[in-house]
Amino acid sequence: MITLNDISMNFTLATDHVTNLKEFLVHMAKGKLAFREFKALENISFTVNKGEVVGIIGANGAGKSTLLKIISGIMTPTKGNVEVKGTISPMLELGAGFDPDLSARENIFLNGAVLGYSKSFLQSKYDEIVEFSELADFIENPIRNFSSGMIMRLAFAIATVVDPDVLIIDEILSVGDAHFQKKSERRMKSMITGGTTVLLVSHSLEQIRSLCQRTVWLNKGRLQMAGRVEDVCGAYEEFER
Amino acid sequence: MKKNGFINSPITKTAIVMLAYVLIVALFFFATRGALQFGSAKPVIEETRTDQALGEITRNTFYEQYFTVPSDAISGISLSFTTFGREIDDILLISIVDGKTGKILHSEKLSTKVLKDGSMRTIYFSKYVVDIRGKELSLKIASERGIPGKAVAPFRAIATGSTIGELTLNSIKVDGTLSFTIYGRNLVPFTQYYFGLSSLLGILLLVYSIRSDMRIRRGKQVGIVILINYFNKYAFLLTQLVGRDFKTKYKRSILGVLWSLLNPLLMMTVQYIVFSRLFRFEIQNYAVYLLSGIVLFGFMSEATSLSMMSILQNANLINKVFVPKFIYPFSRVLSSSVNFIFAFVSLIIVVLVTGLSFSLNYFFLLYGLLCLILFLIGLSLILSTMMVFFHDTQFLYSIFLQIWFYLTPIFYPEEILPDFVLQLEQFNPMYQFVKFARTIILQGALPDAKSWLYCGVFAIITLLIGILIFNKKQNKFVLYI
Repeated sequence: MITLNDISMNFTLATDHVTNLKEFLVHMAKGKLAFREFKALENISFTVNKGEVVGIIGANGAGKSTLLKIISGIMTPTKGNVEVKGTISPMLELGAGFDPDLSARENIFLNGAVLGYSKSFLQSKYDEIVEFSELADFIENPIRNFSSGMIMRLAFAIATVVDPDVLIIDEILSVGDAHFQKKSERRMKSMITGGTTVLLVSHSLEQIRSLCQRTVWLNKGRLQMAGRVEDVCGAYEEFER
Repeated sequence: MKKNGFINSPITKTAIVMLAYVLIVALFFFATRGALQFGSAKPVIEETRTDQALGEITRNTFYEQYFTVPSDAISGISLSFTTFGREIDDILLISIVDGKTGKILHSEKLSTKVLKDGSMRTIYFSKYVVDIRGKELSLKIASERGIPGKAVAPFRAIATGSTIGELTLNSIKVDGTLSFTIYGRNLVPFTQYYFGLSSLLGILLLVYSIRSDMRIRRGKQVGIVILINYFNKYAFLLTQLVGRDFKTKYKRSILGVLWSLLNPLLMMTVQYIVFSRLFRFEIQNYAVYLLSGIVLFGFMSEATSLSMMSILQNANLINKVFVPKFIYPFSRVLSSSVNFIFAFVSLIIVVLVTGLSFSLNYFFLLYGLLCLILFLIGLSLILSTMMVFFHDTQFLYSIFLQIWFYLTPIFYPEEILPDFVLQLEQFNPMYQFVKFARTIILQGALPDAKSWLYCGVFAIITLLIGILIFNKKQNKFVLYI
């Protein structure tokens, strides 16, 4: 379902971030336009089979988010290639493209379009989104008047209405008040256990243990270990200690 | 597999595509009514230095100026009249007559109300007078209802030494020459090139569609189908983004959407008042001349300035959601096109108010606008890419826009430019687009074949360069924003 072949990702970090002509010329003149190679990912290869739930663990800066972005197509790797079969739904950002001046209804369609949903899909799921977000009374109001919790509820409802072949999750999200947090966590878990292929990044080993069948451990851009959840999580805990 | 109906069988599909192509080629040819066979207009007789007024043209008098032209067609004339400072309500009958047979080849009616005392008036012929090279012709000016004391008079020209032909009053020879200008056009080998080129394209199209059919039947993917599917997939997102831009623009104002029509109208009024008071150019119908230029240039400057920032401003989205990146500059160009439609409607209102008439040729404006939009997409792709890597682009570009505005004949006539600048203007895309539109709007005529070619070439080349640069750099955007 997902095949990663020898992925490497290098960032060229200019020692100073030069984005204008003057700085560029000054640095050129001083001969200081030095670039530093930063290897975010090095030679990563693994496969995720259809219907599998795979967890990705690792410390901050290990390259987890970069890897998810590469699989989602947001970044192109410096080396190697990714093959993904089927529709892919990356859940990396809630409420992408929301416009404060538009009503909740208009934002459902705008955000849905940004996430790649079709018009007919959105129309058929519209009622479900409104119902789940519990915002039926405010649906024609511009969201600039919403509280941040209300906006997150709307965003969550739109993001999780999909039924993709591949689901990519950067941390399980729980938004809103206590009641909605429980509701959204339930929904996420039912999405994960619903039979689709899932790639899940989490810092909670407890979540990984309860939801995943396999785990990949990234350490400083390298694939440290991959295999059964218990083995990898155990080794990771040992390593961190 | 489901059995396809008649309409979907590959042979029928190819036939439909080819038939549509042939139909478009033929329709276009006939719709231009031979106008494109002629090159650009040049004054072939120019007797513009006026001496003194001749006698009034009344119901009972008419002037005839005999002349021959060294061109294949006549596309317009200029004449100067004096009203002696009076308000005169008359209609002049101006015709081109065959000097030998007396047959009227072309006639125009000119209301004296539009005449300014002593200034030149140009009449553009919607249908050219053809087959006249070297023939003796006469320009006849008569009046419908002028009476002595209530009529206009033409001017005599200062003798230039060249022999033009006799000037007669009621067929009796008088001294001197009429002050007038004849615009002539020469034949260009348009027809041969047009049919040659379109047959070549037709053959390529036929080969491509047959090849595509065979590939589809073998279950392979075809470029054009992929492209169409791609656009279908993102059409919804595009309409949402354009709709967002449009809806939020006037969302919190009282007059709302009405502003989109009111805004260009008011802007036009201000600009017209300023420019017409500040500079007194001898331009016929200055309001329309100025505003057509400003509307097109404004469209260009808005579309490019907005789309230049599109990648940077959507950095958050680009970092988090997968959307083809060209969508961002592209949707900005489309949003500006929506605004342009409203500005254009305002321009049409001005056109109608100033008494210019609509002609069938307005249809061909679509070609000029399509070329302009393609040009803008190309330019936007280039600018938005540059902007990611060099933030100075926006400041340099705003200065560049100013220079570009003053270098393009928007508010001044192109005749005031020195010759070598006018030659260079050929390579100014905005000059070409503006000229294309003005020819149709102001003269009711079709732009010449060269003008069509320039517009098309600028559009395609800029678009290709834009796609190339954007495509090469787009994977690096994420690292720089």
